[in-house]
Amino acid sequence: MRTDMNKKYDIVIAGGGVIGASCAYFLSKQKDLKIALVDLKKPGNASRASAGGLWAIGESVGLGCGVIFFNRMTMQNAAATGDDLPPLRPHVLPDYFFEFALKSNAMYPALWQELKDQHGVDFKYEKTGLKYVMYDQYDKMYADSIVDHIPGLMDQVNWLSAEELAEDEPFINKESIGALEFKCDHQVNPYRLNEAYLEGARQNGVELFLETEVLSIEKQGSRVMGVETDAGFIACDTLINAAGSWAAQLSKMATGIELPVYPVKGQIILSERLPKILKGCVSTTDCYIAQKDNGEVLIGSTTEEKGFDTTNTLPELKELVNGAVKCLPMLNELNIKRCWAGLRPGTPDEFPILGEMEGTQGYLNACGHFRTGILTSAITGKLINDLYRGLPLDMDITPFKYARFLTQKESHHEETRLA
Amino acid sequence: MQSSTPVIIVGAGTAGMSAAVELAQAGIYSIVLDEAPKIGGAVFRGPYREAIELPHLDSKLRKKISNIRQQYHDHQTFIELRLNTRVLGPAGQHSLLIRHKEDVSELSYEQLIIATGCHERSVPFDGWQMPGVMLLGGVQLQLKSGLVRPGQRMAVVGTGPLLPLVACQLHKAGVNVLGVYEAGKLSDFAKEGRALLNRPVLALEGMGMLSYLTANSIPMHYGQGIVSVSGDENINKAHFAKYTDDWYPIDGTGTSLELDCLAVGYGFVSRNQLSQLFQLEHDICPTSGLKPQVNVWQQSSQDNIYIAGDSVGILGGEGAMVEGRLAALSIAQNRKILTPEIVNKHAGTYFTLLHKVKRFRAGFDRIGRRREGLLSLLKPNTIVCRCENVPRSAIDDVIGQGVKDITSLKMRTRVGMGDCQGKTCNSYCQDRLGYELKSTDIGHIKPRFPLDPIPFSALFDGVQ
Amino acid sequence: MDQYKELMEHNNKLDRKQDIVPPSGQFTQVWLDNQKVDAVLGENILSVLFAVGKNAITQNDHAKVSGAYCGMGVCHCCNVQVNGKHKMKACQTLIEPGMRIDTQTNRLEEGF
Repeated sequence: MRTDMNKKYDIVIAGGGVIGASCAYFLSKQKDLKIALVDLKKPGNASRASAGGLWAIGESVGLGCGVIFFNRMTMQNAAATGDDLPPLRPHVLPDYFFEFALKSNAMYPALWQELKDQHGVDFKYEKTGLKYVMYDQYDKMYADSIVDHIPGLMDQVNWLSAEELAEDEPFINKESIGALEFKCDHQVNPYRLNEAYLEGARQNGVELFLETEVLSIEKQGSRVMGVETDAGFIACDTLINAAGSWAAQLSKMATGIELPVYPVKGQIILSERLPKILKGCVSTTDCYIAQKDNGEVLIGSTTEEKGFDTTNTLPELKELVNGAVKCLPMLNELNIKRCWAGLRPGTPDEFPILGEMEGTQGYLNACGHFRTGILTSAITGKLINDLYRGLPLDMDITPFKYARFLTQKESHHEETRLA
Repeated sequence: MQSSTPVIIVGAGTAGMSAAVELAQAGIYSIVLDEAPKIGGAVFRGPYREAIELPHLDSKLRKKISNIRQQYHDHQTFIELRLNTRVLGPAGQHSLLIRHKEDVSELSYEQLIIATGCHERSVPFDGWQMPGVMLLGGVQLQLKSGLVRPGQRMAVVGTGPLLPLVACQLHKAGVNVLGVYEAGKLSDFAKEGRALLNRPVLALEGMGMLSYLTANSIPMHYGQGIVSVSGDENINKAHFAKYTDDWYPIDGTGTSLELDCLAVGYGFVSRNQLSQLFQLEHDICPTSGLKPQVNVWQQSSQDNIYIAGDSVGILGGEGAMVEGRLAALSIAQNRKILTPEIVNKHAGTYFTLLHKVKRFRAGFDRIGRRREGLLSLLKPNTIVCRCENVPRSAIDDVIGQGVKDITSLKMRTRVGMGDCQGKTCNSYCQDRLGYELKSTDIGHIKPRFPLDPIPFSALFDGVQ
Repeated sequence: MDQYKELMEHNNKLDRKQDIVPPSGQFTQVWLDNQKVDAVLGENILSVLFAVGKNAITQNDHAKVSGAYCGMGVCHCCNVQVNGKHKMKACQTLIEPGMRIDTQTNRLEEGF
């Protein structure tokens, strides 16, 4: 689709993954703005690679990807020092992240209805809950520690004994000692969520320039004037950076500053289609497991800094398989249908980058969502819409603004970066 | 750059083995991988089990089979064969993920030659998914390698030079061959006479086959093709008709045969799943499907990956032999083992032969170019994607909704998202969308990693 | 007793009717849907199936029955159960002595 050289848009959104698509959708609801969305799906695109978990509490307390990564680091340390160290303490995120995650989580039931009824796309919202399955005393210590950190969320938490877990999830390894369940953590089909936002936006009048690459940003002084693409020039007043793992490149073109967003590779394994064998989503210290709406069981994930490499590698695949088969022994009789690697847009403090940047007019950040892009896409879309229109925001986004990098010292998350 | 690491060659067919032999002649080691238990590729693999007599296969074929084995034996010291080994895709930046039985491992390479050959184009029609309907090459494999008859009463339908050949082989194997139905018109063959004369020996062989069919009262029908098949669990009837110039069945010209196996052949497409996983550049070709871009030395868009043989574009055995050797010569020059002068000298004869082969093939490609009538052979409930059970009606619906490319078609219907990764249904989807949108720029069903399912057990270390 | 056993075995054996040339080489036996069949080392399962005239060999994930289509490992339409393992391609699995082959079975139908 070629651009219309004579048309000026209020907003151009660069990036059509869940974040960009959500921004497009929320901004388009009032049908009062001229909005264009430009998207080119590059290998590793996180929205397509994601497991689709809405693990608001899970990810905020460091389960899901986090605990796997920390567990591996523990094992590496133990191997290096020769000691048998107990695992590291859980990595619980600050309250403002909980707020961000939980508020977004709460939007999904209504959003699902809305996108289904008004726009005809069903993103397969499933109320599964998330169970942290424990194998030994260290896992239990970790779970206790998590619970200590979330006193205000006890109504969302449920302990299952070994017997209760076996009854609820008969296919999980009978040698597990129980589970800690987060009742409000569910899942969606991430591809369909992305499609749903885009289709809603399109029906509301947003022009989609798909398979289109942003080449450069035109500015007049410090003001963004438009986006040069391989389908032509798009004039606009405001540019939203929703470029995921490629956000740094785009911010450089638009503001002269490279955002501290970098790709964090995560490998995933998908099984062949199976009858329903898991009621809920599962998180262990080795991997997370979710059975998707099509019956395929998804297992993830690694956390690697390998630039934009999206190949799968044998040692990492084996780690995931070993973790998955330990949890669901019957997987050993089945086949892996597909493996891939996604590139999560990581930031130094693991929080997204939202809002304005000093020094550039007509530019908004909506990127760096790292492990929780699917979950926090809803609230991001809403926040960006409200920010753009000068409406009161659902929460204070100061902790997520770029400005924090100018004032913060290197965070305690420094040690998470591999050499 | 002097290097002693072996060149990795994927595929032990004509292209792969020719490359390995040419490399060996220059003193360069190679590791050749193939998923089959024997070398030679689908064409020259020969029997899987021991056989003293092969009365249904002509002596020329048997000679070629033993030639390729002899060539390997003569150069064994430089060629490491890893048979029953499947390449699952790229791993990391410089390795392949490979599987041999229950063992999955990474194999690193400095230079790689992809010689994965081709597979058959699948053309769906009413009843095509019933047991007893087989692709022509698959039938031929049972004759040449399995040494079994796939049926007792058979017909052969489709287009191309393989039709009469397989009919002869079936008959020699003791099958009752009831007829050969070639969609192309006899007059089309006459028009392409000049192109066919580029390879006079092959053209003569073709005529020899036709005489055999006549001598054995096996009717050769031109301008006719399949309409549908029917049966209970297996097929027991096939319905044919005369075709228009655009290959639409003509009402009132229908004939039927009672049979238990139907061989269907509409040519081959390059087996390019591996080259796609490497994200190499490809072009769309109506005959060969997606063709990886290569230079005259068979070098792909990544300069340490070469592609040779049918996986570049369908040219048959001679083309494969030449391309394999050209890739090998280029590597030898690259590694400074052979000088450019020597390489150019050897390559000269290869380039000339390749040119002739391309002109010969072009003749057949023109005759056998698929016409739109084939798209009408599917009823609304005819399954297009067997892996995901997607009928034609589902595709009709999303085309009605305005889908513009194959990826969207795939996402909305799940076509191509099953175990075979679209290798079977891609052809129909491309032809259909291309016809509806009057464009070739509609994309294709992309392969996924791994190229074949991997059992969890092959990666699991622990004790159960 | 041995003669009776031999007779029973012979009656319970599937005959190979479609070999183009008589099988020769290292003979062995495999179980095909609980019936014995003679096979030769080097063969794959598909040749044995064709040899005894079995075409309808696969039940796919959608309860549809299929037979070998491409014969070369591309179409996934000749999947059989081998020694309890599902989705083994008959056209690319070599026979082994005593192998148990079951046709028209599917994991989704069998459940766990």
